[in-house]
Amino acid sequence: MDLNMKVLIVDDFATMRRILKNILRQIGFTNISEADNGRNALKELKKDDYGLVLCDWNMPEVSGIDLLKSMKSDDSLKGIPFIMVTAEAQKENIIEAVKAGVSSYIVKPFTAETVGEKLNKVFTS
Amino acid sequence: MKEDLTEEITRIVNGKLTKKEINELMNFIGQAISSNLCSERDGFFKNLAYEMTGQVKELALMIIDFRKELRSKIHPHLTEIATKYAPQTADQLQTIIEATETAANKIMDNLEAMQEGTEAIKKSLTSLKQEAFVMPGGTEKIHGHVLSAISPFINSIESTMEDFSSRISDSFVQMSFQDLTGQRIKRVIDLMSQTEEKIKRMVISFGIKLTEREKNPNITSDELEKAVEQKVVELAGPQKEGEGLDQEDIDALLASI
Repeated sequence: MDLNMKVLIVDDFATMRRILKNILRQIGFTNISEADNGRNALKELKKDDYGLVLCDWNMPEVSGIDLLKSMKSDDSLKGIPFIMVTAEAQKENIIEAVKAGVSSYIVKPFTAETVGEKLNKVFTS
Repeated sequence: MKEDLTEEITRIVNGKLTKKEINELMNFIGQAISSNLCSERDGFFKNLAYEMTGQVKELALMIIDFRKELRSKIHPHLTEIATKYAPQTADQLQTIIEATETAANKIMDNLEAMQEGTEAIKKSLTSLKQEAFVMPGGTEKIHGHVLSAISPFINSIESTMEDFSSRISDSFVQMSFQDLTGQRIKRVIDLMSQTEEKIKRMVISFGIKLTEREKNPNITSDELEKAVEQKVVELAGPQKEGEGLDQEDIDALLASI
């Protein structure tokens, strides 16, 4: 896992973005950007080379699942690991995310350890 | 059904009535049933409409009272923010989300400062240990008994700092309550807004229709619908946007129900 890679955190709640940023910094990531919805995330992803996306599901304008689907249909973005970080824990949601190509799924509330474990799993699998 | 009834009547009268008389009897029965059913049906639906209108009025009053109650029970500072600093934010629930976000950010500011302090202490301890114990000739700099005295102390501080780091990280993660409660509150806000809109629409529709019908009993359904649409457009003016049920206008309409 390259700790210098660029990471994008996408969530409409600033508090959540800050929490995830703190966890990623504790793990050792230093290059972290933020977006508050899927539309802005897509713009950000096209600007630079990102190595990882952590994204909420329920967001205004473009939701997390729609962002994932957009990324998977774009050759320049489909290879970027995408971790859904969301309070949506219904089976249908998880299935939909898996079908759309999600790399991992973290349910809120989560612990810092869970985030670390999921990241390790994504980058070693 | 009419044929069945005719057959049944024919059977009952057993040839004592002619076909013509049976047909006249059938017509009479038909008219009697229709007029009873109509007046019964009209009465039934009239009562249902009154009952529904009454319930809509109750719902509208409940929402108005809920807003008043929320304003009086909410922390005065939050009310101040909503009325003084955020005059456009009529929805107190949205103010709660913003207030919890502010509080969570302040807590995280403090936690980040503590994290930095803890990391700095850990680095200093590591550096001290290296100088005192690890570097070549290090042990010569410090007398043996001092070394054995401070070593456990340094280890103890390191262990405490590790514990602090872990607790600070955990506290950080606990701030996610703001996101979780905020999402739930947002759903309630959406539901309330949609419910208010629908109730407002019903109050306007019933209020206008009852008022206009009283003024002019011959008014047509199309004319009533036009009058309702006109009022809806009038109430949806810029000064009313985002305010939900407007007290004055709704009071006037409720009085007419």
